[in-house]
Amino acid sequence: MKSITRLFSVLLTLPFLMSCKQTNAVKDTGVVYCSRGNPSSFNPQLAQTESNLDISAQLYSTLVRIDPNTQMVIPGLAKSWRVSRDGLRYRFKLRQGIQFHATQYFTPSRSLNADDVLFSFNRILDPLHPYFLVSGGDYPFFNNTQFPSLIKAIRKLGPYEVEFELNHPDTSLLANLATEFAVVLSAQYGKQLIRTASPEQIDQLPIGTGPFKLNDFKPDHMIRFERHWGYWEGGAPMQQLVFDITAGPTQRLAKLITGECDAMAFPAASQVNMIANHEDLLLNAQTGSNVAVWAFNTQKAPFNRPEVRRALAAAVDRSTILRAVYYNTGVLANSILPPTSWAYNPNVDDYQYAPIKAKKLLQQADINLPLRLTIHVTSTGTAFNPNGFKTAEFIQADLRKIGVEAEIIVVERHQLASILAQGNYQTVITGWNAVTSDPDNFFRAQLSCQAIKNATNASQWCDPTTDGLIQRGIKQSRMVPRIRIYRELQKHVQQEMPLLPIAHSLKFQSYRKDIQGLTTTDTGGINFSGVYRN
Amino acid sequence: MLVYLIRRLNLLVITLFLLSIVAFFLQRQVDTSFINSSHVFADYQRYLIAILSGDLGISTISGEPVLDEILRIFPATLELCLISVFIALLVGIPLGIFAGLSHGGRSDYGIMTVTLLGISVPTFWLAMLLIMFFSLHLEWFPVSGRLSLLYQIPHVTGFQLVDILISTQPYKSEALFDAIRHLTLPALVLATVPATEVIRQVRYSIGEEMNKNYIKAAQAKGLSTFQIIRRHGLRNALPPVIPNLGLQFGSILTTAMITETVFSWPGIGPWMISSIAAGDHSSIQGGLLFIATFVLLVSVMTDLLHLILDPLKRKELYGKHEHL
Repeated sequence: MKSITRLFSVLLTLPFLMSCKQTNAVKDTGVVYCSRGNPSSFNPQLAQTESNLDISAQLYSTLVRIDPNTQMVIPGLAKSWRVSRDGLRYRFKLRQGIQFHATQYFTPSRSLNADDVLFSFNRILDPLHPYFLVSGGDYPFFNNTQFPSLIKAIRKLGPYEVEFELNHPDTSLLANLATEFAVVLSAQYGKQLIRTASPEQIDQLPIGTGPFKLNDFKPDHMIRFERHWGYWEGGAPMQQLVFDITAGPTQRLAKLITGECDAMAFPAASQVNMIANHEDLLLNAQTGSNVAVWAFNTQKAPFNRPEVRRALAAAVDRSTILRAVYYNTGVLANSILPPTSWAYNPNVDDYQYAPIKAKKLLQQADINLPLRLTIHVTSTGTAFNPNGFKTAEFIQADLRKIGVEAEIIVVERHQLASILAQGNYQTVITGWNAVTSDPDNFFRAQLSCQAIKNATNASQWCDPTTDGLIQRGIKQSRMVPRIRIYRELQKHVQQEMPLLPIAHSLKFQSYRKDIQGLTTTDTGGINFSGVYRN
Repeated sequence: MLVYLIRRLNLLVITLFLLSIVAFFLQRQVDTSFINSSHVFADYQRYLIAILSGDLGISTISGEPVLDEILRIFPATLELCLISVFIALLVGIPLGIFAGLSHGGRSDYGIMTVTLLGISVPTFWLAMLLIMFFSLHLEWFPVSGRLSLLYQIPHVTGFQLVDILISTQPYKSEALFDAIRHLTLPALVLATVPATEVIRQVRYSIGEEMNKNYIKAAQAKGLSTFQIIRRHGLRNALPPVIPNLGLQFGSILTTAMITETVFSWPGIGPWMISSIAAGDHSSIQGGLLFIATFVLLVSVMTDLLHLILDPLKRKELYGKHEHL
């Protein structure tokens, strides 16, 4: 009995004794990120544009990148590039000596060269490429940005030089190549997998040139990355990076508070206040590349008249929506372009909330009050609007004040796409989440005639002036004239008011105070290459 | 003794047999592809042969054999249960003795009130409360999992603490400490109900025992209360507690599944729930069969343990036997 008691007391004190002596060697050299879900594959080329791409920057590198501070294109795997005078040829000079990951399943025998670039992009473009149909042959991002119809050919000019030849000038090419989707894979790994007859492995067991390589993946549980010593920008400070896959935002926040995670993905709008007030946590907010809008179907009366659209827009009190729906986790939108974009026009007038003027405008336009209209809205929250239905209810209440009776119609997200395609609606609350930081992505997708077919033009807006400006913007390769074009475009759009921009939703990153060097992109990417513990 | 053993094992076999029939018909209900021949008996025979050879089917989620999955996951649950029972005994026995000695006194009332609370508080609520206070407010303990994901401990026995101790990682002690931190809250929550049970049992049997004449004789000899309890009281009061713990094992396992879900403990609870959510029938059936078999085995084993530890029980058996 006595000896048992003694054993108990020894056992009980053991952990506490150990805790005094131990050093936290593993914790200091590793970082845990609470991510939201399983990656659909380990190849970002295949990713849906809506899905989170938080693995991309850890595993892969892109030819060029976007500087998070200036939003300008800066070198990546390509150390420099030249654009031909006619804007049809882009020549990239690659850095030399860039090492691919060496893992249990692949050992590279050479560094990155032009073959790898050709291999990676031809996989998307060339239906005869051995890997084109592997994993389904669908490349949503590249299809959405019309990449295949833009590129005429990709040529190898030397071991470290490639040329992209375009069918027509498009200055957004660089911004597209800078996204997390346009990664460079290893051609040598591709060959090896063809030999072993397991090509689909290329999308499951990744080989890239990024700061970390894959070590282990347990679906719904975790992804373990290991430092890639040969990373071309110098090995990452952290030896280990673990993604703790945690679906619920409440659970993610709990893990962040207890220190089980060092950073968390997608804090909910309602959590922001609590995180900001917590002494161990930091909150980083940036204006996301997105916009929430209330779009009018401009093909249908009376919304085909700009004065009606302007009157309805003036009736909406957007600041209340910002407070009550966004919990102030967004900024009022003055344009469909967020204020952080280099093409943003600061001289465009603010949208005024003027219900009395709105009613007068409607009467002047000979509209019989009460006017009846419908508002379509999706039932689920989106990246640009935490709660579309609540937004619709506020607009409904505002409209009632000027004698407009609005009926809210809730639809599923996939239903909305077909409703937009058929054009059978009056107004809709939707928005746009840009996949590249280029302004063209906002205007072309939401307001060009072409976009009506793609069901992304919620206003059914087709106007020669708008289309002309969009086309001129993409062909102009010099920065200053290009900015001028987009400023004019924004002015024109505000006058015509095919849609009312509501807000740009802020993107949050939340992490513990001792984490330094975490960088994020405004298209939602996160990069751990420079992370260290203070 | 041997006769008793055979009788007990016989009962075990019959119960398992009935269990397999129930599981078989349940599976026939949900899984039509399962019916191959028109004869129920032939189907059942094949089913029985399959489960006896360890073939519980293939999980539709992971594509792995169900038994392999259960064997990989179950040690996590078992580890939690064993440690909780250990805590329950560690806390329950002294408190039970204390309450039993001051029968009807203030501390008895105090202890019994707390015990009553322990039984009546819902497990998941208690778990949430502890998480709120110890994890989110004080930030002492993690809210989920078994071990920080930064530690890579090879899976050998499936018992985390054992695996850490036999691993060759340089950060062994660090990992062990982390594992104990992860274990603390779920083990405390899970220990609540068995601890209250132990307290009540010990209190009752100490109360009974202390009134017996041989204790009075010991008191007359001049032994201190502590000595009396240590030498006489406990030896006679503790053995009846054991079969009760065995009987309780089923409910401990059920509580464990709830606790695991709250703490995201990667044991059989969350596994069963995700199987149910995904409609993975073979996993549900396999899990059911496995857990039921395990609980039966434990109850038989505690019975035997009781037999070995308690001479009175043995005597009782022979006594009965003689009467037959």
